[in-house]
Amino acid sequence: MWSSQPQLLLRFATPGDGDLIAAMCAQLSKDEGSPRASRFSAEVFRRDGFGDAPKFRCIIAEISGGPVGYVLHCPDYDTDHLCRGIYMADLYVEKTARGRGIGRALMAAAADDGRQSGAAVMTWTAFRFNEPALVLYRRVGHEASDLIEYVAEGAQFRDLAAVADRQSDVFHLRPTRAEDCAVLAEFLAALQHDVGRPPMQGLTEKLRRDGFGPDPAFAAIIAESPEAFLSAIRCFGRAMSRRPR
Amino acid sequence: MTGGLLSDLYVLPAWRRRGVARALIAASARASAEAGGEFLAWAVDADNGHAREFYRTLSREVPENVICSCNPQEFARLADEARTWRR
Repeated sequence: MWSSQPQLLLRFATPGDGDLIAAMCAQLSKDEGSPRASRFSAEVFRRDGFGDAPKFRCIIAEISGGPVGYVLHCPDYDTDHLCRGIYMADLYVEKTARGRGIGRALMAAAADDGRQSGAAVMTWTAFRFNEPALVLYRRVGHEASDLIEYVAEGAQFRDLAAVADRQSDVFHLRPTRAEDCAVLAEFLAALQHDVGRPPMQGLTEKLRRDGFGPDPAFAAIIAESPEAFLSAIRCFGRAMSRRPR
Repeated sequence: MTGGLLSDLYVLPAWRRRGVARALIAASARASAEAGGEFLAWAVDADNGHAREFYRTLSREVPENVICSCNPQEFARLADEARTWRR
């Protein structure tokens, strides 16, 4: 628990907070002007956020015992810095409680919480026209204005997954193993070189440490032909979001 | 709603334009779906025209979203702020 100012308490959500989070999440979607209603129900909150393998962690802000906001984050991996990170899926502060540093306090609590499990960076997406939020985000971090996001969902996602049934006769795909780290490192170095980033040290060891230990931070798929490795992709399968906008 | 985030995609230059990237993205979508996921998301440099053209055939571009992050220094500063508030 955290308390940054009198009467403000930041605490971890419990399964019993399902209805509260679902309601605040619905309000968040509405405030953002989303054309679709949020599908984040109390039941989904309990199913995905608790149990043996929780997919996210959630912190609630309360003023004098009444809830005014929440932050939800999930594990992520950063191949620019080769370290674990957190992805902030949701940040919400009730309209009447805005302008009092509660959003920033929730972000800081999420960072402090993530750091306990080894995270050293944080990523999130914002609505380009949400200027008040961007003001806060530029203070605590920075915008990657040179990046464009892509999302496959609904029919596109199903169509894409179905393409995986088609086998090529010149290459085949398989999940990576620890022995593939040197190849992954080679590909990652080539990729970073292509986008003009400086070379990094110890790629192979860091990929082995973070991807193939007891609590892997990422998964990768490799394509290979009979003669050579072709390519690799890192898929960070455990990210969670309210829903892509 | 859960989904997958794609971080890196690389194909050896000699093997480009032969369906390898599409197959890798598809396999990632499949892996995400098998874990209960309902979407796959990724990002690309805005000036990478080739990649963007290709990605538009598989997915929806989300130009209204801006990606933000805290690098290790910014992250440490933020987390330190909260550390002093622990109760």
